[in-house]
Amino acid sequence: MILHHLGNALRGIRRSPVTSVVVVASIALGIAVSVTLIAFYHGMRAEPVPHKSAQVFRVLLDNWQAEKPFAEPDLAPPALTLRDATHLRQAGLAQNEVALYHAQTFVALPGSAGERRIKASTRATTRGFFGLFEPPFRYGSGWDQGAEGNLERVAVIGKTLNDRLFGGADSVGREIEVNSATFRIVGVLDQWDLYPLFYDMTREDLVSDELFVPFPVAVDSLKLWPSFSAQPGEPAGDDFDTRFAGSEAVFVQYWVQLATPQAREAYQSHLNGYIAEQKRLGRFPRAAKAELLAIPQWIERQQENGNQRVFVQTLVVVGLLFFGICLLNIVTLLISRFMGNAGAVSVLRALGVPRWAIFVDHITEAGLLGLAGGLIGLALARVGVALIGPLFLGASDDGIGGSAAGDFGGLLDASMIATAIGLSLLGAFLVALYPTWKICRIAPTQYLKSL
Amino acid sequence: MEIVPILQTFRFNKSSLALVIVQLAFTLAVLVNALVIIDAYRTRLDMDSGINDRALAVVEVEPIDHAYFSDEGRVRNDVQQDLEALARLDGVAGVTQLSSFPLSGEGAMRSSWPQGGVKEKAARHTLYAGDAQALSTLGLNLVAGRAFTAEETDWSRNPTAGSSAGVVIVSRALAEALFPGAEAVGKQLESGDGKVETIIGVVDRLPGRHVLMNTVRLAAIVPARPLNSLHYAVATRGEVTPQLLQRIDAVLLQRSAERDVKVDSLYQRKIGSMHYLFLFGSILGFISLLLVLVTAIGAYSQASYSVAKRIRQIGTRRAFGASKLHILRYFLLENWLATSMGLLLGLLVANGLSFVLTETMQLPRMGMSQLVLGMLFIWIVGLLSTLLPALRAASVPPAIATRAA
Repeated sequence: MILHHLGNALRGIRRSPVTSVVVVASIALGIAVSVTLIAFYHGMRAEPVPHKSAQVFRVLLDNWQAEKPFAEPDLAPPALTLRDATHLRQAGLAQNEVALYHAQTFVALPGSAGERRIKASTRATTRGFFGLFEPPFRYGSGWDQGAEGNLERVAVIGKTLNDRLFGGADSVGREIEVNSATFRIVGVLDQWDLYPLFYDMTREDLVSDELFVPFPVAVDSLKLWPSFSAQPGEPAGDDFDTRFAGSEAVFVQYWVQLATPQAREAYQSHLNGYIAEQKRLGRFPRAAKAELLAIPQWIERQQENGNQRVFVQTLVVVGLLFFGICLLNIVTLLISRFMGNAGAVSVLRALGVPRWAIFVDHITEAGLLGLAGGLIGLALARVGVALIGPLFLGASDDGIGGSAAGDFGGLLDASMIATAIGLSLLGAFLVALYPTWKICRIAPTQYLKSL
Repeated sequence: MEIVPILQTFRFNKSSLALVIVQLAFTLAVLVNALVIIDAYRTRLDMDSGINDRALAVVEVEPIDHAYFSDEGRVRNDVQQDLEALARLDGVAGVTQLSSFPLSGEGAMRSSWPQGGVKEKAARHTLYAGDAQALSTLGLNLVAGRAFTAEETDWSRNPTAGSSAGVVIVSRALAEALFPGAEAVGKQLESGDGKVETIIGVVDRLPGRHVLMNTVRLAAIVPARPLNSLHYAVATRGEVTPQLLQRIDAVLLQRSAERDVKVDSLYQRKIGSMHYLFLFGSILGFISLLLVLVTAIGAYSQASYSVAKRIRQIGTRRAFGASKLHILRYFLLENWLATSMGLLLGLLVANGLSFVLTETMQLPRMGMSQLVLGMLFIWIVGLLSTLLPALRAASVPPAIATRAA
């Protein structure tokens, strides 16, 4: 039965190849434009580690001065002071916790003195990062507890940096120079496209990191200057230790994994207790506030006032309307196409074929055209994403890693493919409704006479 | 002409007419707003800001180790040697050390108000810190007062916090905003933390940090030499050439490889600062071109359908004496009327979209010229895409009327 209708639909498509091509092309164009733009919006709000999204939290403590908040309306700064982060790390109450910050470093192979170094977007992080956010490894793995405790100079590098320095070969065990220190590579990541860089989000233009170094090494021996830092009032000093070590300057971004609501409550009350204790020491002058933000909430808060958000939202609306226009175009085409077949339909009706069968034939025909358009549109959207992606994020000038490295193919994930096909089928059915209704309602006698 | 009969036939094709109108309205709205953005981008790009951004190279030197800046003596020494090396290059007319560059998209802002005046009347403006060569290198025109002396330009770890000499030079627009109708030179200017500076000079124009700011004409410069950054502006004889940029890069890296050098023309930096506007304009422009294409195909198939449906009627009209020109004119007029109705609705939609964009993205409002341009374009495209079907209609032989159905 289904095969019969499919056969009829295919015959319909063959009968007028030119209109078929135009209909498919219109749907493909509409899908290509709208899905490309939706993909960026979707990417901005994607869940980077879906199976943990209810367990991973950003820790925020408001250490700002009493007079005015870090940002309106009464928002806490997006990072912690080094002393608070150190306290949390030592307490170690969460199942997994990560302290990290972003820095710019300059990387070279040993023995290439005098040559221009590669500027690399760098992440100083504790080792929990690799377990918590699960970046894909190509070679090796993250560093172990011992290496981190002994301040060993070990590093994980990203795919782009590995391609640049080692031509993509397995570089585990090789050495690189980071600024003026020598690091041993223990792991190489595979392509890892994140948009936005959800675990940071202190800057809109960061896309990926290419070098990961142990947090203790970065703050204790390398003294890597953070890309983002802020302090209530004037900076305490100009060298790393006076500026960041004992001061109120925030720059450490802190993440915890709390598997159960009970664990979350316990952690929250620990934070509250810590603030109360510190208040007695004269810190935290604002109303006590400690927050645990889940990843989606965190992304939401950081994007709320950003340019990118409005920009992408507007484009999504324009893209969907564009798809709508492409569909409107098809209605007339389908009417003339279906009505051109009025004679044959009349014969069928006269021979006793019921209306609903005629309806199914024509709707199936439209659905097939829509499906073809959707698939072609999806292929075009893949091109669109690769074309627009670098433009989107090309404003950053942080060397490799700072701006886009991949071709954004990851943006078109399963849900986007489903969206594309769903949209094209839905669109095709909607535009076919009126023409199909029209052909089903014809009076056979009128057309039979003219045959 | 046949306006009345055409309007009557519209009544029989309400649904397809409605489709055409909605389609055209939306096409016009997107097209016009894309034009607005492209227009805004181009005017800002070519705006005469008072600084010749094509004849200025901007250099940012970044030491590999940030600890570098804690050694003051070394910073001073490097700045002096860098500036000397740059000044020796062929084609360089002047060099200066600045805290940040005009129109580059980055730099400090502050609020200032007349001393003793109300803080609420403060003007928010860009603040630069620079050495005694800043005015001449940037090509600023002093219209009142005097420039900085070499003694006033002291080294500072926090240069945009103000100068130790307590003096400031302001742009004319800022002077007028703070002291309307009065002589600004000699007046005292207050900014946060009770800091007071004396205005010693007014320059004709000094653009702020970002070309898209409403306050782009409000700027001030204090005499202070940054100890926390290595930023140099280089005035060139004639426009900045890629060769010169390369020579600047090479000479600075040659002085020391323990740092990264980023060098651009200021014009290039200005383009970079408007990246988002450019991107938005290009995507919207591309979509509107696609829309026009889709609309043209739609108009073509609509007209083809309506001609095919009326072959016998056309034949009859021809048999009753209508010329080919009459038939051609009839179909073109029909399309033109439908297009015009769409554009009429499009005026509303375009205005609505423009309103949304102005509110959310601080873009300029849509102007008459973009509207007229967009409408003309769509009219022409509409007529062109009906031309072929209309010609087909005109060539219908009158004899068709005599044939049996």
